[in-house]
Amino acid sequence: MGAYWILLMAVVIVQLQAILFRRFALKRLHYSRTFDVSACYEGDRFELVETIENRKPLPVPWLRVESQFRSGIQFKGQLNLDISEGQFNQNHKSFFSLMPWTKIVRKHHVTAARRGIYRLGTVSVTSGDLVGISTVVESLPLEGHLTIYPDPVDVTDMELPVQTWMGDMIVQRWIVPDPFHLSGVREYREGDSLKDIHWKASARSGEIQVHRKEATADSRLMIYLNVEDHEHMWNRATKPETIEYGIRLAAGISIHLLSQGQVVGFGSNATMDEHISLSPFVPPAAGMSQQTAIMEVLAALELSRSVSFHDYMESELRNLEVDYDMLVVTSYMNDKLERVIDRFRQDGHRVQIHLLDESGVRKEASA
Amino acid sequence: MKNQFGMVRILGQATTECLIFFPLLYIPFSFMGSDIGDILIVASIVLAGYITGWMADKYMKLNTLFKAASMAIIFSVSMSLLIWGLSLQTAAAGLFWFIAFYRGVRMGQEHWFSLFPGRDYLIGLIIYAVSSFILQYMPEFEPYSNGLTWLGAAALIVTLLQLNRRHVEDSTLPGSEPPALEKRVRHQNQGMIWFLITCIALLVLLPVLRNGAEQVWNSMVTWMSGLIDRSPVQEDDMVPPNLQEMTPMLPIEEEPPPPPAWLVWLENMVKYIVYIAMGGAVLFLLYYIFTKMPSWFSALSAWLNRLRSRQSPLTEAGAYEDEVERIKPARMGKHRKRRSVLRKKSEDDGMEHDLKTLIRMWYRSLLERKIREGYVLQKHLTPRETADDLESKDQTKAEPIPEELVEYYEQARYGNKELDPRTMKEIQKALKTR
Repeated sequence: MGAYWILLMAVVIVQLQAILFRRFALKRLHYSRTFDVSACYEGDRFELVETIENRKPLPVPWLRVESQFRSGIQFKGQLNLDISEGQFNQNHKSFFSLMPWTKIVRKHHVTAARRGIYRLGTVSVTSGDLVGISTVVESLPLEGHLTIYPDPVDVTDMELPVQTWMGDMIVQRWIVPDPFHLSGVREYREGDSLKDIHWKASARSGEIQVHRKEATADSRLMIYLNVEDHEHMWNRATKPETIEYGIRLAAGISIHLLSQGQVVGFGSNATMDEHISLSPFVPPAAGMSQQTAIMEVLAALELSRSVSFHDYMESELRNLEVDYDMLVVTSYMNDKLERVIDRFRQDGHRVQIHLLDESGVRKEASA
Repeated sequence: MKNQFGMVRILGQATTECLIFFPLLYIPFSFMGSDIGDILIVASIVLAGYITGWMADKYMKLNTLFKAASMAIIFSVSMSLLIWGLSLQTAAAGLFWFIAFYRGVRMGQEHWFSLFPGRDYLIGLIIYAVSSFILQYMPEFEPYSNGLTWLGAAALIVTLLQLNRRHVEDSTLPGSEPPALEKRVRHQNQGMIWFLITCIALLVLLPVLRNGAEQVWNSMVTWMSGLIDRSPVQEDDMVPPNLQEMTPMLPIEEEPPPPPAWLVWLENMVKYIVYIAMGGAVLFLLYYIFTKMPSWFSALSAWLNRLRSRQSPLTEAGAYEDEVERIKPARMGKHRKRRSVLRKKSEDDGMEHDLKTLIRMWYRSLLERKIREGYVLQKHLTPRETADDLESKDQTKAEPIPEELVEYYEQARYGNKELDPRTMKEIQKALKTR
């Protein structure tokens, strides 16, 4: 028995293992991938969870899972082996080795760097034998996506007419009192509710005193965002940071007002992510669900226009039926827009314009 | 410390190269009449040549072909003349030492994987196979054949381990960067390669193993027979016939009569029963070990997995965390089918309760799937409103949650109405097709 006999048997065994792994490596292999949250804000951390199960008595010597993500999410501890990042997309690879009847749950630590809709898409699964004779590849379609909301700007210190929008302007023509706005005390009259009694004032004066309520304005605010970063923009914004600031500003304003119980809506002339069936218009409403709806639209906005902002506002002029407060967030103003805005004012809407300039962007970047 | 580690690395690489191409060294010197000691001296100096070349490159910067070749010639010629003087061995050894020195220089300049690619391993194995096949017909080479066989086996082991390692590292698609591989992956692949090597060894040594197993079995049977078989010794056999004739008739009693037949039969029966019992005990012990071994192995494997996960450089960098767990294999035997039937019968008493739990579980799992796909659940919505909201957001599917499921879920959750099992089965079929 010489070395040739040993090597001949080795060739037989190695070929057998190549056939075995080529045929059965990807059989009874279950792979799934999810994000541990369905939505989050820019800067938040979350996990991408991969689960792979080998439900057979044959081990899998190596398994490579490749996929592509948009480049707005950052994987922690990125090695060049795992991630190759481009401007718009990045390739992600995971490498496994599975013993028989084994399940591996791998959690990648990820940071949401940029707003948007991130889909799981299709993954390519590759495996092979021990020495590189055979390789087998399979594609697995996956469903699921993650929505990253824009990081809202803190508007409390900004010079915006928030007071008006919060309904603190007293209007004499209304006859229905606002139960949340108290402007003093008065003497008790028949018909006043007992819960309106001001006990301390009553004790001081010796007579029953009740809270006096004022009537306030019932306002609805529509925020309109113009994604054109200059007057003659063709299709896509060339200064994306300015428009992104506008998106974050819209997010900050809507969150602030909705948290105060106000009615807020949103509209834009931007296009939306191609896989999303939403339109860039959210009718005015109040509550947490409205905040979610606006955030989803802001997350899915693309920085390209569907129509010019002037045409868009003209169509809105025809659609708006009741009086609105309007905030127009835009990078520029011209005569056409001025004329459209004037027509809104003539129809009874109150319009405020916020110009997105670079100083705001720089200030926000330095904050 | 760094230099020592580098020297160890170079020594390992040099040993691998020498092992893979050892027939080229071994056979010529065997035919020149050198004994094993001389061959080992030559091999040791070849290894020293690698290290000398590497150190020469490190300190003398042999970064051109001329410099490296010149130093290699000086080294090989001087060593050859020193040991053998002017002889045929000098020429052969000098050539090998030249190659060793030059490759040592290159190992300091390039990565070894590019200097010694995978095909070189296969070339070396082919040389082993061809040379051993041809030389078996040459009687003068017979004293050296065992050495060639063992070295061939060692070369095969090294080749399989190296090829596996390189293949797995290449499969990570590292690009221009050095590959980063988890220790667990590396160790598991090494374990599989050793299993492969064991299979090859078993296949090669099958005739030897069979003979060995037969010998062991025969010796066991002989030993057990010797323990139990105590039949009386016949005096006629022990006493030589001459002595038997010369022994005078002494006034002693007659020999005891042989035992009765039934006692002999009983003794043989007991003997057979003991044989069978001992054989059965051995078989039961083997069966017990065989059934318990997977769980012992899995416990050991799980412990090793945990240990390797903690030590992995990728997990240490915080890139990800792995949780490895064992899955119980599904075994559906007759007794399990019987048990499932029994379980179904006992469940008929609480069937109504289970239907409600079942419908709530289906609804919940379908909703959880939608949440994982990106739907944001709004808790203030009723189940019907949730279904409508899903339908409005996902227009690719007609009914993300079937209406019957929503209706039955509401009945199960909030109502006292009895659920129809037939409708439940239809809902189950509809869910399975999704």
